[in-house]
Order: sequence, then structure tokens, then C-alpha cells
Amino acid sequence: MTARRIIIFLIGILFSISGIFLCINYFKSYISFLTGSFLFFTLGAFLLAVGLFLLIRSLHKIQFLYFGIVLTVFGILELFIGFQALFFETMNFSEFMQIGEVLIGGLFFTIGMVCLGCQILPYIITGLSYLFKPILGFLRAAMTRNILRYPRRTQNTFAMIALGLAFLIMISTFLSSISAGILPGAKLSVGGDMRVGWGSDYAPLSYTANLKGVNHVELLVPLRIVSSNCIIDEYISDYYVHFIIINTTDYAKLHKEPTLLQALNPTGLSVDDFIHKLDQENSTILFYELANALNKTVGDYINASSAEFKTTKLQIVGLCGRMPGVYYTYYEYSPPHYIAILSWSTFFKLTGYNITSYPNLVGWVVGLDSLANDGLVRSQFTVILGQYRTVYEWDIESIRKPVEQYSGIINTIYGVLSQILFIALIVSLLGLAITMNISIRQRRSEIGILRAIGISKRQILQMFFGETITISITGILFGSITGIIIGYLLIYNFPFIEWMAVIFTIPWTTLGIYWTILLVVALLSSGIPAYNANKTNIIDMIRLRGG
Amino acid sequence: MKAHNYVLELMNVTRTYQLGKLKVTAIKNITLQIKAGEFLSIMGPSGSGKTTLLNLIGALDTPSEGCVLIEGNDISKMNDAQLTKIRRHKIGFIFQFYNLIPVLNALENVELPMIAAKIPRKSRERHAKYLLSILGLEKRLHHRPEELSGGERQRVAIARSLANNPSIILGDEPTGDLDTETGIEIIQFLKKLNQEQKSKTFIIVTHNPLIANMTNKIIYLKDGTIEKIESKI
Repeated sequence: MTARRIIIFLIGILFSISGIFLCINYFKSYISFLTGSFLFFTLGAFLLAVGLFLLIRSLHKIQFLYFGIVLTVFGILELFIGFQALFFETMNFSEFMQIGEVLIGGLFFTIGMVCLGCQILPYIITGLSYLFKPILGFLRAAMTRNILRYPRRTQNTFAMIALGLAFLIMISTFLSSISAGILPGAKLSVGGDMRVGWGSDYAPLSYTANLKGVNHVELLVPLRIVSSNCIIDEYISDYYVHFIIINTTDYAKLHKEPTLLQALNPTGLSVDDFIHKLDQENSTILFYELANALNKTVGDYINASSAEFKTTKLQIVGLCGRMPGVYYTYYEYSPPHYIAILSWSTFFKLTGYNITSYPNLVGWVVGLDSLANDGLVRSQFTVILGQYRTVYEWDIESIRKPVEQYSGIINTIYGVLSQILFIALIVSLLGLAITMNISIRQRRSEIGILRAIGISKRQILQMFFGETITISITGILFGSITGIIIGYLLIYNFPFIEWMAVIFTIPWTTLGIYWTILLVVALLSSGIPAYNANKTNIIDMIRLRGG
Repeated sequence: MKAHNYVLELMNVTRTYQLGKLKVTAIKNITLQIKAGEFLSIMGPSGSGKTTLLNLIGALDTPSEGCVLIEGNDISKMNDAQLTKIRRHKIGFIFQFYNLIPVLNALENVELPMIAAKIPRKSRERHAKYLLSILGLEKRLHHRPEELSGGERQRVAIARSLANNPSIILGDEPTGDLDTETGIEIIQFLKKLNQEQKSKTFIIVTHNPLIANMTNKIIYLKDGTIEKIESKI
């Protein structure tokens, strides 16, 4: 036993060190996670988790309850710190540390949950076993007690399923959520399904009517830029300030998806609610860079003026990193252009211009119906815009390009990860099969006794299936819940690249496949040896008992 | 004459085993008739075929040649499901090493054969309690095998063998793992049961002449054949 413990302990250390190294490798190059660092994290996190679990298990007389509670609380604390650090800069954490906090927190939380699960396993198994009462009757009690008869083995099997599944589901949830966010993410960068924008000149408002007539165009939202002599407070420097004027009602219609849109606003408000804050009188939304430069935040006031309106006091009602359709059209890095957003109603109040009477615009973001053909709409726009020789430097961008680009990246990540997931799944299943097989082989003499006293083969198979299903379901339950929670926390705390939008999505189909595979393997790995044992001569089986 | 005048009949029974290339005959051409209510023992040196004979009588095994009739039913022609039913309803086993299910308590161990027989919960619990009480274990109902002494475990095993009210009770060295005093106590109890329930037949395999002498008939086996049958009555 001592030698066995030492071996497990050494394996634990080996796994842990490997995990730590792989994680460190990931943290060092987290920015380029799309090129493979994420792969390191996943493998590293998995190895670290297994390693820590083995370390804990290898210690004698350990109270899993206390370990479980400590690790879980610590995990939640870490996640909270990571969350705080991500969005509230007062924490002064580097982004590097933020990711580390979130990921390590998630890891500890997973291990904590599995340890807790091990501790409360007898109660869960007893509860679940009642599901089999209609089939097994009194044999249910025998089944439950057999499961609990070898607690370490049962805990190992449970932990193996739960831990493996938790990581599989975490990654599947993460990827599904990113995949679900591809379309909204593309819209986020383009502004709608399509954007018609201008480089430096103005386009007449009268174009609107013509463009609206194009087939499949549902919504045409004009955007207006004010860039002449814009001043906020007394801030004068080498930087340019622009005011972007939007129609809040139409603009919000373009973004109804339940996107996280972290880069847009961190408040958790929907785009609709966020944008409609501008309906408040004399209000503005500032880009972060501008707010930081002015040292202002939500609720503060600024004094704004431009060539078209006098100095006016505006209240800051929101901060954002970007605005769909606005960011790429008007924002330039060099020299930096700072953006403040106003609604048409505020602009009308300041200038007397309303959306229909204002002569010049810069561009539109376009909403298309579901039947629209990107290429056809684009060609019709091109024909219409070509009729106006007074404007040039216009450009049409649709969401097709970013969708293809994002899909390509996600597919690359998924391709790499799926190989690791597959290996992890195979390892878990092999472990499960071996454990079940050993368990049943060791109980062949018991099968013999049961057969001798008149228990049928069918009843014995039912009993073993019941045992396997109970342990598997317990592992699946814990693994799935933990995986979904960690996936959720990861999605909502991961510092995504700006163009990425995510929609938290539970990949039910993938989950269903995992569950089915696990259950089938568990049933086969107990059913085949149980079936074979059943076929063995009863006398030989009883003789195994040493009689 | 009724077909099942004898509770057990063995007609020219031979059982051979294949051990690699070697063919071993454990019992040879045995013919034996046992009436209901008999209390007999089977004695013989190691390798004489005692356990093989008991396994055949108990429907754990089928003969290579000849036939075994339990209450007139030939088990040599039965399939596995039919043999299971015979073991469930007609036979009660008492093993040398008790062979109780370790995860179940005394009461549950006794209930086990009744589950297979689909006896309702209340009835089987009542019956199991009754059996354990007549064996003096009414205060040990909820103890697991590991918490019981050897004698107590064997008494639980006896109660289990009686659970489905079988007509034949088979004991394979039932006192082999017990001290002499406890062993005698167990056999006396079985004998008392035999006297009280005259329809039940008890067949005990033993090495111990002291135990064998407590039975009414002794069948001596040697080299797989019946050497002699000694009747005490």
C-alpha cells in the first residue's frame, strides 16, 4: 500500500509540475492564444487539475469536505478578483494577472467541486439509487451498498468522469459561446448587415431614399459626424474630438441579439437599453479613451462645443470601447480621434437640424432581411452611388468578410482543441472501463453465491447496470454542472479581442453526445464482464471465495 | 405409486471434467434414492466426489451421464433459467464459509432468496425475522456478517437456506469453519428442524465422523462411487 501511495504521489507531482509549466507557457503568450497558446492552457489546466486531485487523494486520512470547501471558496474568490480586475482598473492588475486569476480560479473551483462531490457521494448515490427501485426492488439496497463498499474506487471513478467531463464541457461551452457570437461580432464591427461609409467627404441625405429602395433593405440608419472645431471642456491638444450623431431608435433596432458586447459596454445592459440612455436630454456617451483623457466617468458633466453649436453642458450617461459601425468608419489610431456620441434629438436641440433637414451625412448602417443576397445588394448600392458624381471615396462593407474570418479562426481553435478533447475523452473512458472491469471481476464469487441461491442472470445484470449507471450519472451530473459554471465564468471574464462578441451557449448536442458515449462505455464496461461472469460455472465462481 | 415418492433420485449418474487434455471422472455411475424428510450425511476422503455429488443434487451442475430427479423433475435436461428456478424454490444451500453477502445485514441476507421469488416486502421481512428468531438471532437482525461470530454467520446462512421453504437443504461442510462445540450445536439445530418439519430433507457433506454420526444415514463415497450406506435407524 505504501509503495502504491508513493507512486500515486509521484505521478501527482509530475502532473502538477507539467501542468504548472504548461500554464505558465500559456500565460506568457496569452495575447496570441489564437495561435495555439490556448491549447497549452487547456492541456495545462487539465493536467494541473488531475495532478492536484491525485496529490490530495494520495494523502492519507484527508478530509475531502474541508479541502473541497477551501478550494471551492478559494476558486470563487479568485474568479471574483479576476472579474473585478478585468473591469475595474482601480485593482491595478495587469491583464496578464487578470487572466491568470480567472483561469486558476476556475481550475480550483473545478477541483473543489469534485472533492466536494467525493465527500457527499454516498448521499447522492443513495438518492439516485431510488430511481432504480421500480426495476431492482430490494436489490437496490444491495446495489447501493456495493457501490459504497469500496469508497476509494467509487470516488476515483466518479472523479475521473466528473473531472474529464467538466473540462470537456467547459471548453465546448467556451467554443459554442464564441461560435454563437460570430454573427453578432461581425455586426459589431460593421454596424449592421452592411455599412456604406465615406472617407472624408459628405454624402447627401437624399441618397437615403434611393438606397432604401434597394431590395431586401429593411433598415437604413444614417450616421452623422461633426468634426469641425469640436472641443470638450478646455481640452485642447494634438488629438481630434468628433461628435457622432445617431438615431437611437433605428440604431438600436440593428442590435437585438443578446450579445455580451463587452467591448461596447461593460454594464451588462442590452444595446437597446444602452443606446436609449442617449434619449435623456443633453446627454452623451464617451469612448473610454476620451473619458480617461478628461478624467471623467458616468454621471459627470462635460462642456462641449463645435463649429455648429455653442458650448453646452452634457451629462455622460455611458462609456464604451466602441460603437458598431462607428468605430471603423470614423475612428483612426493615428492621430488619435476621440469620439463622443449624441442622439439626433440632442443634436436637433443644439443646432436646430433634424434628421430630415440636415443636408449632409457621412454614411449609413444597413439592416437586411434574412433573404438578402450580399452580392446583389452591394451591386445595387454601387449602381446608385455611381450616379452621384459629387461623392467619392465611398466604401461598402458587409458582414460576410468578418464572418468568414471569425469562423476560420474558431474552426482552427476547435480543430486543435478537439484533438486534445478526443484524447482526454479516450483516456477517461479507458480508465472508466478498466475500473468497472476490475470491480466486477473481483466480485465474481459474489455473483456465484447470488446465482446459487436463485437470483437470475437478468437480475444480476440489472444490479450491475444499476451500479454503473448510478456512478456514471453522478459523475456526469457533477462534471456537467461544474463544466457549465466554469464555461460561463470563463466566457464572461475572458478578455476577448475587441471584435469578438460572445453569446453564452450551452452546447446541448455536444453534451448529449458526451453523456451518451460515457453511459454506453460505462454500461459496456460493466455489462460485458458481468455477462461473462454470468456465463461462468457457478461452482467455479463460488470456489473463488476460498471455500 | 407417485412419481415423486423420492424427493431425490440419481440414476446412473456420472460426472466427468476436462482438465486440459486429461479427462477426470469425479463420480461414476451413482444410483441413489433419497426420501423426503431424511437427515443424512455424505462422507469420504478428499477427491471422493462428495462436493461434486452435492453440486449435482443442488442443481449447480448437471451430470455428464445419467439423470438427477428433484421431486420427479429431471434437471439434466433443464436450461439455465429452469435450473435457477429449481435452486430458488427447491434447494437451500449452507456453505462451509457461510457465503453471506457482506454488504447486507442478517435480515437482508435472509430476504435475498425471497426477492428472487418475488415475495412481497412485508411478507418476506416477517418471514426472515421469524427464521432468524428461531435461530436465536432476533437481536442481530441488523448486523452485517463482519459483525457476527462464525456460529452466528452460519445460523444466518441456515436461515437464508430456509427462506423459500425448500424441500432439500444441502450443507457443504457446514461446520468446517466452526469449533467443535459450535459445529455440534449447528447440526443439532438442523436435526431439530428436520424433526419439526418432516417434509424437509437434509443432506450434509462432512469429513467429521462426529458430525456424520449425528445424522440418520451416512453415505460413504470412495473414488467417485458409493462404497456403502449406513443407516442409523
